[in-house]
Formats: sequence, C-alpha cells, structure tokens
Amino acid sequence: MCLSVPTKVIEVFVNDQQARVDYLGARFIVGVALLECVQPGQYVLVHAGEAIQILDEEKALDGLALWKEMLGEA
Amino acid sequence: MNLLAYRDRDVFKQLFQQIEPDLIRIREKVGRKLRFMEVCGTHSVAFSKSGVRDLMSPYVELISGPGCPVCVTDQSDIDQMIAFASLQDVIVATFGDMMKVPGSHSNLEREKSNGADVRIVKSAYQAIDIAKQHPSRKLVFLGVGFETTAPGVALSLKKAREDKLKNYYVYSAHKLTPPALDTLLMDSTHQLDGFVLPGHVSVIIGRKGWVHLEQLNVPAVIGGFDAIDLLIAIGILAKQLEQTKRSVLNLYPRVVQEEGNLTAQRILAECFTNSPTKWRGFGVLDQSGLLIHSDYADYDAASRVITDKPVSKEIRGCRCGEIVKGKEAPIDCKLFAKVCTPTNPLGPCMVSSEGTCSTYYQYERVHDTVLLR
Amino acid sequence: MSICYSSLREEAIIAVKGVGGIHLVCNAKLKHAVEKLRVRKRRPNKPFALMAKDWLVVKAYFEISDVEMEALKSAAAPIVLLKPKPEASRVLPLEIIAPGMKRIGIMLPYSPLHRLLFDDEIDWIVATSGNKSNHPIIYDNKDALQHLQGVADLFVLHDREIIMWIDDSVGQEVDGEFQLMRRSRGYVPEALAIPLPKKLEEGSVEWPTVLGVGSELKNTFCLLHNCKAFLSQHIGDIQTLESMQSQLKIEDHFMQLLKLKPHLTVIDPHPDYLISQEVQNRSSTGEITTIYHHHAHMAACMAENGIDTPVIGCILDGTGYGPDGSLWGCEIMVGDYISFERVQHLQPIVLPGGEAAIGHPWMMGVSLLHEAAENRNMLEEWAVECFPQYQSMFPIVFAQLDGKLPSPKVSSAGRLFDGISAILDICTESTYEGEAAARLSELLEASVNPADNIAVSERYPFESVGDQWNIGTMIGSIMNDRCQNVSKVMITRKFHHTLAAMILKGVNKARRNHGINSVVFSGGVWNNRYLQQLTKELLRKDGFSVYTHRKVPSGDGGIALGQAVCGLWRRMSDHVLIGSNESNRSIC
Repeated sequence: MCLSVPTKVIEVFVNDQQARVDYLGARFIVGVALLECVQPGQYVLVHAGEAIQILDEEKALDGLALWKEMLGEA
Repeated sequence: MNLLAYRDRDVFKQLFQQIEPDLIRIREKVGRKLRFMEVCGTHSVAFSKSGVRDLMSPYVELISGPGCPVCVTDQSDIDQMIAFASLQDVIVATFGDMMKVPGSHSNLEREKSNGADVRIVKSAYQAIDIAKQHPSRKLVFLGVGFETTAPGVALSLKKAREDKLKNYYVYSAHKLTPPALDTLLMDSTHQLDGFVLPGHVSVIIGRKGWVHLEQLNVPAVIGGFDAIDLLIAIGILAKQLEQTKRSVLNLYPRVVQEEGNLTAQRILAECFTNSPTKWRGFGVLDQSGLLIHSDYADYDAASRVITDKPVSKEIRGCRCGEIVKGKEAPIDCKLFAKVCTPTNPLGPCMVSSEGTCSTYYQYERVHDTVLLR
Repeated sequence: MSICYSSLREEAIIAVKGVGGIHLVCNAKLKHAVEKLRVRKRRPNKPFALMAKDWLVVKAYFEISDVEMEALKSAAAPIVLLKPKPEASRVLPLEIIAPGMKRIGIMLPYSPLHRLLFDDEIDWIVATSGNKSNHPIIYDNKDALQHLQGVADLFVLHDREIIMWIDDSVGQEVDGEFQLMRRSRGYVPEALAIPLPKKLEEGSVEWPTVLGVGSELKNTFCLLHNCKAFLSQHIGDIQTLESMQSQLKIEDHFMQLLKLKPHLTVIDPHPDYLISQEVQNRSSTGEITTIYHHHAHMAACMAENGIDTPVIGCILDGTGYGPDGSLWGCEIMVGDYISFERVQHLQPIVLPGGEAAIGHPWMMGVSLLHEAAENRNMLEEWAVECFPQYQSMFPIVFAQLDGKLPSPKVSSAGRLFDGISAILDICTESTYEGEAAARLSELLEASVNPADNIAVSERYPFESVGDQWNIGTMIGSIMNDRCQNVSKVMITRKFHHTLAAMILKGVNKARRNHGINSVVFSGGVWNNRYLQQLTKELLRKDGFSVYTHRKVPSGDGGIALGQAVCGLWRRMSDHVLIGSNESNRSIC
C-alpha cells in the first residue's frame, strides 16, 4: 500500500487536477491536486494514485555529500 | 540525475566503515544493544529486505513498530468493513491488502467468492469512477491508511461533492501516527532509545509534525528508504545518544520539508476531524483517528450505510496486538511461521505486505542472529 | 568414418563435435534410434532437428519455397521449418521426430565433418545439441566424454578447441520472408543498426555503451555501442546458477572481443529473474536501469525496423512482469523507446498453481472454463467432460479459482493458447516450454480439407469492457462447438480468427485515441504463422503499416535488444535512474 515511487511528470492536464507521468517507461495518470504547481519534467512522489510531493533535485544531489558531512560533525 | 547513488554498494560500505566504530563505542557506553524503533511499514520492509536490520544487529535492536495501517485497524472496524460487503446493493472498494485480513467470522475475499461485490482499487479516485458507473448501487470505499493515504481519500470526498454523487461513501479507519508513537514513549517498560520516523507520513505532516519530540529530548530522525538512507538513519540516531540536546533531524530532505504538504494538511482538516479511535493493541488513543467531518456527513459510510452490528471476537493465539507495539516480535508468537503463514494468515500482520510478520517471514527467518529481546 | 556409418546403421547414437559444440546424432530413418535418443536425452516430445545430406534430398521429401531454399543453403545454414511431402512419412518416423508438429526443422551440413557423416544409404540424421537437460551445449572434449557417457554410444571428436559455444539458428518463412525464431550460429555476432536519439547539443555525442541482459527464457544479451547492437547467441533459460554463469562468461567474452564495457546495464524488473538479481548484487556495474518486459519487446521490433516514432505495439507472449506487478502477455500498447501506455489487454485470468503450473496446461483450461461457465454446476460438468483424468485434483484448482487459495492472475496470450489446447485435448501436459500452444497452432499448418478454409469473419464472440477483452463468451462457444463435435482444426481456426479480430479492434482504438498508424508485432506468440499472416492482412486492409521481426527473434530472444535501446534513449533524455521498488534487494 505504501508504494511511494518517484515518477516523472510528462504532461499536466488543463484542470490541474491530474497529470500523465512516467515510471520506468510505463505511463499512467495520477492526481496532482495535492501539489501547488507541478511542471512537466519534475519528479513527484506518488502514493495510492496521488502525487504527494515534488522531488527536490538539488537536495537529492546534495544528499550524499550531506551525509558524509553530518557523520563527520554529528 | 542518478538516485541509484542511494543504493551504491561502494558508498554503503565506506559509510558503514565510518559508522561502525561509533556504534561499537556507543553500545559500550550504554551497556547494552541500542533499541531503536522504525514506525513505518515500508521502513520495516526496507530494513529487512536490504539486510540493514541484520547488519546492525550486533549493536542495534531494530524493532518494528506500528507501521502498517491494516495491522493497527481494530477487529471491530474489520468486522464492520466485512459487514458492508454482505449488503446486496453495496459495492465495496478497497486497497488490495484488506482482502485477506481475517475478521471474526470471515474476510473480504471469502465474501467475494460467495457473491459479494468487492473490488480492489489502486486509488480512491478509481472508487469514484466505479460509483459513477453504478448509480443505483452504493459504493463504500474502505479508508485504511495513515496520513500519506488520507489526503487522497479526502480528495475523493471533495470530488464526490463536486460531482454531486449520491452513492459514494467512505468508511474511515484512517489513523494518525504521532499519537501511537507518543504512547510508546510513555511506556516505561519499552526502553526505546530512538525512532526512525516514517518518511512518507512526514512528507505530509512535515518535520514540524514531530517537533514535539524535541521537548522530550528523544533522538528521532526522518529517514528515507534506500539502503544508504537506512544506514545513515541508524548511524545518526546512535550519535544523537551521545549528545545532551537532541533534535528531530530530517534526513530525507529530497521529499520531506519543514512544513510538509500544506495543501494536503488543509484538505485533511476540511474533510476529517481528529477523534479518539480504537487501535489494535493500543486501545483507544486520543486525537488519533480521522473521522469524516460533519460537512461531509452525507458520505460517511459509518452513519449512512446501515448494517447489522457485527460481534467481534479475538483471534485465539494471535499476538498482532503486541507485535504492532513492538512489545513482542513475530518469533514470540506461537503461531508464527507454523500455523500462520502468508498463504494461510491468521492475523493482519501476516496478511499485509507491510505487516511485521509477513516481512519477517520473508526476509528475517534465514538469519540466526535476529533476536529482538 | 566407416565405424560411423556402420554404427548409424545399427541405431547408434553418436556425439559429434562440430563448429559450435557437440551434436548428438542418429540415423533419422530408424525409428528405434530416434526413440532411443529421446529416452537417453530425457526429451519425450520436444522436436528434433534433422540434417539432410544435401538440398536434393530435402527437395525430394519436403515442400520448399525459394525463400526457404535460400535460407537453407545460405552460409548461415540455419534450421528451417519445412512441411514434409507424403513421401517423407514413408522413410522418416515423423511422429517420433517431431510429435504433434506438422513441420520439421531441417538443416544442411555446415562443416566438412558433417558432410562426412552421410553416405549412400545415410541421407537423414537427427542432429540435436549435446547437453545435459537445461544446460548449454557441451563443447569441450573432456566434458563430452564425461557428461554424455551413457547417452552417446560413440564419440567423434576433434582437436580444434571451441572457444565459444553456439547453438544452431532456427527460422521459418512467413509471408515470403525468412524470419528467425532463434538467432545464433551463422548470424551472431553480426551487428544490427539501430536508431539513435537526436541530441540537440552541438558537438560529437558520447554515447554510453549499454548492456541489456535479457529476461529469463530463451535468453540473449545485447551490447549497444554507438549505433550498433551486438546481440549474443541464444543462451537458454537462465533458471539455474550454471546457466547464469554461462551468460556471464559469454558477456565477458563479448566485452573482450569488442573491447567494450557497459556504462549502463538494463534489467527486467521481474523480482524472480536470476539475471536481474545478479546484476543488482554486483558492486561495480555502473548505472543500472529497468525496462519493462513488453516495452522491451515493442522496442526490439521498432529497433530492428529502424523506427524512431511512436507505434502501436501488439505484444503477445507467454509471460512478462507488468508495471502493476501482475503478469502481462496479451497487450495493445502505444509508445516509443521512452515510454509506453497500455491501451487494451486480455482480462487477467487466474493461473492456478502459479508459474509452476505452466507445465500443466489443463489447469489453465479449467481456469478458462471458470471464466465461461455460468454457474458452478456448469463448470464442474465441463471440467469433467474435458479433463476426467484430473478429477482428483479439481478441489485444489477450484479453491484457487474461488480465491480461497492464493494464485496469480495473468493476462497472457501464451497461457490462453495453452488453456484452449488443453480443452481441445491436444495437449494437457507440456513437456517443454510452449508445447501446448505450439501443438495447437501447428494444427493449422497442414489442412488439406478445403472446407476448413473458412472466412476470417467466422469466429467466436468476445467482449471489450473498458480496456480489457473478456473471453468468457468465446470459451463458452468453443465448448459448444466441442460438444457438437466440430473438428479441432475448425475450432482452432475460429479461435485464431477471434484473436485477430480482438487485436484489430484494439489497434483501431489505439489509432483513434493516439493518431498512430504504424503497428509492430512482438512476443513469442507471433511465431504462429497463421496468426501472424492473418492479423497482418486484416490490419493492412484497414490502412495500418505493420512491422514484424525478421532478423531478431520475436520471442524473449529479442528482449535484450529492446532493453538496450530503451535504456539508451531514456538515459539520453535525462530520465532519473532509480531502478525500481522491487529492486531494493540486499545490499550487504
């Protein structure tokens, strides 16, 4: 049930309620009403048919560097 | 962008080499193995499947807590859900995990094979579609889930109102995670040293949803789900034990923000009210359940779809109630892996793909080192 | 060699070392020799290939077209499926050579040693790979003597060491083209050209080298470098540690030969595939990504035909893991190398016993009856009618169909064929992969009765519900025909017509919704000539451009190509490499 997976937004529908997304090539439709404004090309976390957050690419890239830093300091 | 970096074996090995000496030292200081709890079913599976739980086991007892919403649903709720299925004019729509959960007398799958209209859906939205296709019948959607799932269900309530649906109902057994955690903290017999907080619940409630733990000075981190995320979570938790002042650290910033998802929070407040709710194992916890808001009372299955009141009885020998609290491990249950297996589950913890028992059955039985006492 | 000749006359089985490995050989004309070979090789039903002395002999006993003759005589010397003339059954025990099949695989001698096996009397031999069951072909003298002891009566070996083993290739003519079903000796390691994504930046592009490792059955792998795809030879089913080591060894061999190392490795996300697990467990593989099975099939056919625009894919195969975690296999999809979308598919049908029961098509037969029967009584009546010999196992199967015991659901064309084959009592137990389906489709290979040439419109009913085809009514009608003693050939033909009609409808829906006119066929079920020709014709009449596999197998032997090309295109379009949820296995 808790199958949250990052998927790429391909197209946001006009009503801003749904979007077409791509997960490893499989395209399907999810709800995006829980997100303020999502753009094609962004990655979202999907849970039970709804996108619940936009993936912060910068933070994702920083992640590993951050861990190493924190381990040294913490 | 390569998120696979969070699974990089070489980096994992390096980080573990860095962390291990700390774990050894802190274990020495504390005088026993560290006891951390993960409070999210997906984390339970991730720790077991990746082998991190086992890898940590010389230093850390990683205990699985109430992470699976199906497992903490009380027997009376399960029986009520099954009762809906027995009504002629009702279609029950549910997430897959609920199908085999044993009620006191039956389960949804058995009801289905006896002719009940029970359908598995992947989202509440799908349930709305089914309701639209069958206007003359009532559709009851079984709302089981934590803060991650509830917003989607809330959206379905809004949609039902927007589209003026007359036959869509939700039975809400949704629960909030922090009250369960708080209860476990109050339990002095539990001796928990820290928590790995649920990553995706935190996406919704934000780090701020856990900040009250800082007042209790409890080590807590919000962790991600890839192998490196898991390792870091344990490493940082352990280090926190050496500090006098602890804070709730967000180690999953790629999706968890300080404020969480404000839209989702707003919608939850609009469609649900926090109420006392009975949990399996915990009993009634204050402010721990999401009941349907009075504004949406027309869609509340609990009051609008009448069934006979089912009589609940406990499953003999089943220790799910203690297992969801982390007080007992699956291996402590006499039925585990003998009578109660994934093909023949006796309790919800073995049914759900994120239940502690089914996770341990699949991933923890080959290791002799897993001892959670 | 005189010892050889006399041995062959005396029904001996000889292990002969050829160019790609050891063949087990016997006199094809002697029934007992062939039976003996079946027993010793533990291969009760899977067809044996024959080697003929020369093309004259072939022409005398088999029907052969120009296309088939060209393929047969080519330097690659593949095994070609041919229809025997009536004369052939007088000299060759066809039913033992290829039980249940109307065609026989024939090849010509492709090395001087093979030529020497024939003399005035011996003009037909059985030539099958010398191996332990489910292991790759043996190619080393010592191994041969050790492992084939008790199987071969005589060993004819030489001292030219075989560095890389390779099986024979197999193909058939469809619609005037020679199509490879197994691509191996004679064709590998020739490269295939594939379309590249257009990179908008200036300057020369550094294309990463991509390795697609294939799936599980009839596996191959594919190394993609710049615009060339090197597809490996047929390796076999990767279900044991040995077969996996075999694949890894060949991968190393290729990488050394071509001096290439993959930057990106592509796997199938099926959680149980050994090769997928192996790739994820290795610590230094570079980047890994996942491409879904049927997406890879579609892409393989696109790549082979040089297509780089979106297509409608008709993907019909036995089994493959789908994005929703269930097993797919009868799909109309639209998409390109980047992504795909499901348009229409066969309803999910319970597979009693799970993947293990694939060897027992009668169980699938009962499952199909369950879809069609109006009530329990009817189901039981039909089940007893079709499968009286399995009555004692009905309770377990019914329990699975009722959902009381867990079993997966599959939307698979291959399993549909299996079930119908069993219902028609053509094959209720498969002794090799795809046997039931193959025996069913072979029925249509040799109809001489003109009454059998019914119109395409003569078919069974089916329903389209949402994005799904429901086949309950089709099965019900098949049962009616069966009870009225309609001939098996007729029923089979009508079934094929129904499937073609379903596909036509689905493809039309795809065109309406997506504006695409090009169609690709991929998946092992398309090796069925009748279905392929029929469906192609229907689609072309409706204005579609249809593309099929020719040089690359339509079955799982082509998956690796699709994986590699999709992996490259997705990589170059900046898709995040995240593996899949299922792939988060043990890292320690």
